[in-house]
Amino acid sequence: MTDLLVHLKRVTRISFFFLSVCFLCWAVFPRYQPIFGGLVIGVLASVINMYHLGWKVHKVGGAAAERTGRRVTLGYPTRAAFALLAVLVSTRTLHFDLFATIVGLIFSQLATLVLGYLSTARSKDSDSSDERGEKE
Amino acid sequence: MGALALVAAAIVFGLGALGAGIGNGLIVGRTVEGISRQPELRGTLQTTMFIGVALVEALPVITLVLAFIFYGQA
Repeated sequence: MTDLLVHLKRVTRISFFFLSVCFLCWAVFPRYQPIFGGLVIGVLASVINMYHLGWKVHKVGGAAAERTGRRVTLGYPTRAAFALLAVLVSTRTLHFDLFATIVGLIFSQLATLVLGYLSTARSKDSDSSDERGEKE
Repeated sequence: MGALALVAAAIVFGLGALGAGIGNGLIVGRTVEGISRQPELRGTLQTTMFIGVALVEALPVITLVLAFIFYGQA
């Protein structure tokens, strides 16, 4: 399994854990249902956007490694349109909170930031003796 | 109020798109250069690129939503 797939799986696991917490709070605090509903819709759209980005990054890397000369883009308009669709469904159709939906939309990015920082710190700790000139 | 809301939407989305375009261009350009030099490091570079692009794209997504909110108020 590639590093990217492992990373995507980790972020998905964290997102599902957060979604379960949101559903639990939805049931326990009925007064704040619009906030937790918005968070759920935002996080779901964020996870789907993250998988789309992972697929596109894989395609860009493949095109660079094989040197095909094919033009591959990252496909930002698709993700932007999906984020807009999530906001429209959340606020206009289901009448959830707008700002909770926006916070949910950046959840996977925040999880990616934290996981990336942790993996960088871990690899720094484990590889410190492997650097050039430090081997015995 | 209507014209000002349209100007606000344009400024918000324009600045967000400009920043994300510059950031994404730098990240993708360097990563593609690295992969073409050392294809065996493709996995590591792709993961780093994914983290970078995901972080850069958080801002334009928010600006897009804000721009459409402003547009809706116009």
